[in-house]
Amino acid sequence: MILEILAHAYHTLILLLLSMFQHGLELFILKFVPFFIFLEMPVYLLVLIGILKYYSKELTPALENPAFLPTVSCIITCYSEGEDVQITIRSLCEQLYMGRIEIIAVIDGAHQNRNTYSAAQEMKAYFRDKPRRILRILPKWQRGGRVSTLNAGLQCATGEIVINVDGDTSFDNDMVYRATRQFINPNVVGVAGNLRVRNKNASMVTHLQAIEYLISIHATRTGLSEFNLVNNISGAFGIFRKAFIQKLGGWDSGTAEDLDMTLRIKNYFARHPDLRICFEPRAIGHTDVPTTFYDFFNQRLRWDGDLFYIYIRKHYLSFNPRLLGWKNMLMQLLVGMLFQIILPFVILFYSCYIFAVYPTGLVLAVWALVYLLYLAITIIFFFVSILLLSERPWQDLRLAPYLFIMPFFTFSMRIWAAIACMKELFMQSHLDSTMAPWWVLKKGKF
Amino acid sequence: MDFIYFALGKHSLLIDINDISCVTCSSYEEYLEHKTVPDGFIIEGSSDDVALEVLKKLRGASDTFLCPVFLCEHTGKLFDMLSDGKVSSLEEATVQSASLFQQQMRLHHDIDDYTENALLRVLAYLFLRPKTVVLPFQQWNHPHLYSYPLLEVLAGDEQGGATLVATLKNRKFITATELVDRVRHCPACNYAHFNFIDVCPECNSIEIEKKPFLHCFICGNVAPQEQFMHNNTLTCPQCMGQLRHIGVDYDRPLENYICKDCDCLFQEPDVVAHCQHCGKRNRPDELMPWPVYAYQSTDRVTYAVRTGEVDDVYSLFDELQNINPVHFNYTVDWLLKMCQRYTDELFSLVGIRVKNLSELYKKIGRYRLIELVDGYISRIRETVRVTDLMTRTVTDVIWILLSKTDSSGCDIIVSRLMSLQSLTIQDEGVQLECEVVTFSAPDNMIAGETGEQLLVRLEGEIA
Ligand SMILES: [Zn+2]
Ligand SMILES: [Zn+2]
Ligand SMILES: [Zn+2]
Repeated sequence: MILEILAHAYHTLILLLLSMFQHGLELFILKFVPFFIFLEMPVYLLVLIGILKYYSKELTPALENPAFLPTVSCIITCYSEGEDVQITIRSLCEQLYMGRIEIIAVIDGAHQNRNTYSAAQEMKAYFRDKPRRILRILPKWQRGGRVSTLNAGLQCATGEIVINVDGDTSFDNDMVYRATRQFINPNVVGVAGNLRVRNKNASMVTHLQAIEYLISIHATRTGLSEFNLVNNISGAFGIFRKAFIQKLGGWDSGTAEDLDMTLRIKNYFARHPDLRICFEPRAIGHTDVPTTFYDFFNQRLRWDGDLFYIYIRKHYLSFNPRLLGWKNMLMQLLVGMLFQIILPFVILFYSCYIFAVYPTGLVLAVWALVYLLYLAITIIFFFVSILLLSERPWQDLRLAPYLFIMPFFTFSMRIWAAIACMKELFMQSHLDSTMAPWWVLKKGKF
Repeated sequence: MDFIYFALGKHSLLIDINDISCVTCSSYEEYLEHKTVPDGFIIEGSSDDVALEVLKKLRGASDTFLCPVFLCEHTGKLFDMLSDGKVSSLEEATVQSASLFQQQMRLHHDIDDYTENALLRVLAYLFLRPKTVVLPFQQWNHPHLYSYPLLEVLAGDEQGGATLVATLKNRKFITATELVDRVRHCPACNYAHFNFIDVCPECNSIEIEKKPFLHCFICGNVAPQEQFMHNNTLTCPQCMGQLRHIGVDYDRPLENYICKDCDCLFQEPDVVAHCQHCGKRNRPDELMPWPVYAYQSTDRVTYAVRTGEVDDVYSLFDELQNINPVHFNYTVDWLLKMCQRYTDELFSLVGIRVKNLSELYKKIGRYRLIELVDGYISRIRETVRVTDLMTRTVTDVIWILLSKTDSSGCDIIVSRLMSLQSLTIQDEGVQLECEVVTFSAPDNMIAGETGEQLLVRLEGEIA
């Protein structure tokens, strides 16, 4: 039965591909390729152009000012990382940067997370003969959530530049140097750091996430950055000009505080068109990702729900060209609303629709077509990333076999995002977000 | 009562008091011209140095060392140790001297005894002042870093009183009350002045440098960090690999030091204690730990002073050119460790206890016993080599340490020592009766036993 359907699907696919030559390309595309792909295409093109622009600039690198050495404060938000936090602290201490680096480990709920706290304490000895490196440990005995942790760190930060990092993220030794180069331009207020998957060899799902990070962070943000269109400064790794975020009043919102911060910075863009948020692909952090599908989908359920909450509930007023500027608003609409929120629904409904209306063979054939298309896009982005951007090309190349699974992975993420939004819409799940206890959220402005 | 009042500088003391005669002198020399020994002294005025000089001279002279000496204004550790305290009037001095005079009546030695016998001087002083604490005094330029000024001055001992402390302690005239410090002595010359230097563990050179090092995980290269740095990135000079993440591509090796002489890399330098006196370079664990105590006199002092029997018969054996028991213990301990480490190392130990010494003392009297023991001792000296060490413990065991001697060599020595006994037969038919215990390392070694434990164990066998 299944074999029969598959055979039928195969024949249909061949017919479809043949018909492409018989009836002309335009007709074929209009008839069979799902329309949502046309919405994505311009973005992919824009990103590719951006990457090429970045690459051509890099061929003749502008002179950097090596004497620009502002003091950098790294706020590590620690929770239950335990001894892993030592890797983070150590990788920051061992930066090759010649300026001062102040490392502030804020331990949220230090009472429950004793071993994280003592692991951080143990690192104090490591700093004894390290010039221009300072370790401050800030235990918050009462658990207060990410935002209060970040703001506590911000309050005691003395540096001109503030880097917020997660306790399970470690860094290449030139990260601070590369990140600070962006701030030579006085209009740069925020820089998104590049994240890689630290535990990519742990399982299949970590390999897939490694590809996802390479394409959606490394490649996509490099491209978008060229047009000042960086959509988000990740909460695991963001770099800010301290004076600016202090003017914004620090971090806010109980959920997705990183996207919230990005949007609040962007709200200044229309009035101050010179301000910039950029992405620095060479400021590299390595972070742990979920190792099982179960954990992975749980994480995404939370993230996508938070995203929906931020866009729809908190920042709907921000979608205003007078705040964001036309370009950014369009992009935010396209990338934020369309990709993250609308597209998942479209795909979900489209899938249900064609399964209901068309014969199974045809449906499978269409999906096979879609698969090939996505595979092509993935492969193009993958190799563009490796050839033009990656600083570890050989290491990344080992991910290639997993490319064939990527379209399935991306598809299931999209479907899952739709489910997460629905959950958020009907169940207001952000209130039980594990990152902040309920009383913090209740006290919040939103 | 009569006092000599040393008015070395300004005077403030009211000295005209009836029935107390008080002579004022302005220097020690002026006092000597009087040719009388007063009941006590009072020192006032002048600098600390001059006053201390007078105080030391009074305590060092055999006719005045027991006299009460009071101060008026001088203070300091040395003044506290050597004087009888401060007074503000002549009356007060008289009152405070009274008890000393009473005690002094109980002494029945004359000045000649004191002139001859330094030990007796010390004992008499301690007898009159039973609350005296014999305190160590820290002195940076003293060979042992600490001296006992009271003993030094009373006995006229230039060496800081260390040997006298050992004698007093061995005979239980004094007992340790408080551990004040612990110094370390050079095993070669016994001085306590060291310079601790860091040296290369390979070639002992002192030309070493601490540098940050990196260990490349790609090729295993370990080199100073500066060789990796190329405009804000790390590149391995050997494999040219880019090192990006600590703990992943590279790490800090345990080695932190480089020797400029032999170019070797090492984690921790060796520490060498360089003796500033004899120049020997010792490992820190080779130094002899030396506890510095404060001491208090025991009731044996009273007994000895009142009977006049300061000598104990066993001290006759001190003629053997003994080394200090502590030093001896240390040497045994060290040799045991050497035997554990090196198979070709060996030594033997002979313990002798003379059982009937007090019996002989009664039977043949002091002078003949001295003769007997002297003869025995000179024979023992002939039997052993110069390189062999001897000591006599508090418990009156004579230990002989025979270096580089195995058990058969030891047996030969013991049989000779035993035959010496028969040479001591007296007309009364008595002779020295000795019991002997032997030990040879490594044959009889018990794993983990320290030198002190060993000596205690052996001593038990001849108790
Ligand atoms: Zn050397
Ligand atoms: Zn190498
Ligand atoms: Zn020496």
